[in-house]
This record gives sequence, C-alpha cells and structure tokens, in this order.
Amino acid sequence: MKNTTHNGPVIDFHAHLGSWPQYGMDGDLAGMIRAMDLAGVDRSCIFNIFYGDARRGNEAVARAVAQYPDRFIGFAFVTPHYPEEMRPELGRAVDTLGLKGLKIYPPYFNRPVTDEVWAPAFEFCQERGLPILSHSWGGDAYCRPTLFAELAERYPAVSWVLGHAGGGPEGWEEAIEAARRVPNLFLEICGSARTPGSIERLVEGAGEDRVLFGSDNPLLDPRIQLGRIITSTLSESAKRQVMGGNAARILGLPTP
Amino acid sequence: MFQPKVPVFDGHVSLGRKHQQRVAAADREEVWAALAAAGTSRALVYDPHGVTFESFEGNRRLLEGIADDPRFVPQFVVNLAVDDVNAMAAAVRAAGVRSLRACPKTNLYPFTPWVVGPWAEWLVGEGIGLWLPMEEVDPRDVYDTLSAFPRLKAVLVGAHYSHHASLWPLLKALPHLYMDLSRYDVIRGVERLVAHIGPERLLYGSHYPELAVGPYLYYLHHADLSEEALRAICYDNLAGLLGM
Repeated sequence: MKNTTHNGPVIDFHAHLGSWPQYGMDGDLAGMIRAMDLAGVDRSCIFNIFYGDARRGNEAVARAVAQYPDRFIGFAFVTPHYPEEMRPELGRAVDTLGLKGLKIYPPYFNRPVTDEVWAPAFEFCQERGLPILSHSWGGDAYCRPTLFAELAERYPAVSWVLGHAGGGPEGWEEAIEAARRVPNLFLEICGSARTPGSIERLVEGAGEDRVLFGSDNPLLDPRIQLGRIITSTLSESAKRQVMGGNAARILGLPTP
Repeated sequence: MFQPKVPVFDGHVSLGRKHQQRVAAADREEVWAALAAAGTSRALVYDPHGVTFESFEGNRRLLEGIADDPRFVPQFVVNLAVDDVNAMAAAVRAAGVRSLRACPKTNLYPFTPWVVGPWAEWLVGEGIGLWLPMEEVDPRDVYDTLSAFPRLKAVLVGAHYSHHASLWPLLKALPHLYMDLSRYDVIRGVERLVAHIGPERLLYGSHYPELAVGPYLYYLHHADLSEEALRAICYDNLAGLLGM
C-alpha cells in the first residue's frame, strides 16, 4: 500500500518482529501493518533479535516478508556468541532468504561493538555493501555513538545506522559528533525520549541527509515517532528526506 | 501543519524552572507558546519545585506563575506524609484547585493506607483528584490503597512501556483509576486500552516541557477512535474529573 498522507516515501528503518508481552509488544503482524497504515508508513525494515539461534529469527523474518512483500524489508541478525555461524548464516540470510541488511544489538548480547567477535559479520557487510543498524546509547561502553565512527572508517562500504541516535540528549550530541567525522554514518530517531526540538537538533547537527525515521514498532507505536517529524519545524524537503528519502538511498530503492 | 480537530485539555504540564536541569520552557508565555502551537486549548499545570522540595512554596510559586491566566488550571503538589491536611485544604479552597499531585518515592514515603488515610475523607468529600506518577509508586501499594478508599479519584501519570505489565491489571482491578497517556508509546496502546477499559478513564497529557507536545496529539488523531472517544480523551474526561 502506498501512503497517501505524505508527499514522498515513508520508510521505517527500525522495526522488530516477535513478541515481548511484558512491554505490550504483542507480535501481531496485522496490528503492525494497521499502525503503519494509520501513520502513513509505506515500508518497514524488520528483524528478529530475540533468539539465541539467529537462523530461527531470520527465517521468521523471511516468512513475514513473504506475507507482506510490499510492506516489509527483511534484515538479518547474527549472535556474537556463535561467531563461527556468522558468515554462513549471513550468506544464507542474504542469498537464500533475501534479507537486505544486518541488525545488531551489542549490549543485549553482552558484547561491545568493538569486540573482534563481530568482525566476520562486518566484513561480510563490507563485501556486499549491506547496511548495518545497531542499537546505540550515549555513555554505554558497548554501543556509544563514538565507537561507530571508527568502524565506519574501517568498513566504508557499509552504511552504519545508529538506532535511537544515541538515545537521549547527551547521546544525540555524541551521535552528531560521530556523524560529522565520517560520511557513512546515519542517525535513526526512535525512542521514548521525545524532548522538544530533538529532531530539529539532529538534522541541524548531522544534516538532513543523515537522519532516518525509525519507530521501534511494535514496541513503540510508529504514529508517535512519525509525529515527531511531522510536528517538527523542519522544512518540507527535510521532512521528506528524513521520513524516507535517505532510507531509500541507503537501501537502493527508487526515489521520486 | 498538523492541528488537532477537537479541543485539547493537556493534563500533564509543569510550569517553572527545575533545579537539576534547564527546561525547554519555564514561564507562562514560553510554555503557552509551545502548547498553543500544538493546538492546546487549556492545560493543567503544577510547579516542579513543590515535588522536589516544599509543596506549599511550590504551590505559591505556581499561582504567581499562572497569574490568573485562565488558560492554565493549577494543580497543587502535596506531600501526603508531612503536609498538614487542614492547611492544604485551606490553600486548595482559596485557590479553587481541584487536583493534587503526590510523589511518594521522591518524598520518601510509601503510598499506603496508613499514609493516605488522614487525607482520604477530605479528598473524597471535596472530590479532589489525586495524580500519582507511575514511577513514584509501587503498583501493589496503588492497589491496596485505592481498594481501601474506593471513592478516591486517582490518576496514574506517565506510565511507560516498562510499566505495561502492572498497568493493565491495575486498570482492570480499580474501576475508579484514571490514566494519563503522556508516556504510553506502546504499539496501538490507545486503541487497546479503549478495548480494555473504555475511553472514559483515559486522559491526554503532553508531559511538556520534558516531551514535545505535538507527537502524541498526532498519534491520537491517527488512531482508530471515534470522534466522541477522541474528544473525551483529549478534553472531556479531564474536565469532568476536575468538575469543570
């Protein structure tokens, strides 16, 4: 379904697949689609990071994409606890399952993003030119934004996307600083810190071509995260870039 | 530019500076500029000084800050453990206040029947609502205390997805408990809450100046809600609770 609400594609770069009921995340695919429709989101990048066995999660993602091929873009996941599985699983996820990028969550899996254990996955993405979305949080030794600038220099063919853009006011500043250092680092906005002026600050600091809409759907509702952009004081052209134009470029999708 | 299509009565706004951080807006005109830009008609406001330090001083500061501006409806802060009931009742009556905000955790007391008891008769008798930030109370205490005083009108404020697991059974178990929506970002949260308990006990709040005003209003206006339910959540439920 093409959104008719916004003047340009709307691509959510950060959405999960799976259930986490204690947080109200019910894993209802139809519910995710309904929230996307009501918000005016065309497509969402989805991944499943909840299993110790990455293959199981990646297969679930592929099934969801097959069910809604025009609405979901599948991303792979790999676990740092089984590094020997990373390269073969990524090969399978990309070449067989058709997934288009990689999602990692260093603190949740208890391995800093700078740990060499991740190298096989990063090398694979470098070879294939795949984007990597990572959880990022200011001050977190496992995933603070400055750590990604060095990785972006080391793996320049990768578009590095900082999930949550560092997570809050201090992390946002750190993420802006990191984005200014390297051209292949992008800031994705989702989070429950909806501080006044946050979107404007990210765009002012990093540039309108470096900020991406993401929602954390179905943990967070995409209408609220998209509302942060819609109700901001950004220019209409900047809003279009942030809502989907930049994501389309990273994902190699046609742009109007 | 997005604008709400129903009147908006914001139930969660603080007015005044905080000691621990610079706020996005502190005085009446600054705060109103942000609220009005998002289409707000009226706002229930409290003074953060009263939360952290001394309630009566904070409440005096609040009235000075509002300066009889009818767009702002004052909410007094109360320390249920140490404040004097009669003194608070007199201050509330003099200012025409219809709701109180209590922060037990910050003020180092539990929200238990033996703390709330001395206040309950007055609160119930006058129909004064009690706002309770979710992060300030143990849900077990909320259940025990509001069960002990079932005619006390209470509002849980700022429930987050991390409170979801206790929030839902609380709302079901306590039919007189209201909920401020300001931090509830859970997927289809509003639609699911309406199906769970109906729209009558749900209150829109922005949590300004901590959070931006527009995004949650945008969400509510793109929710699967009837216009009647939207209007109730955005204005009527709060106005009714405050007896306005």
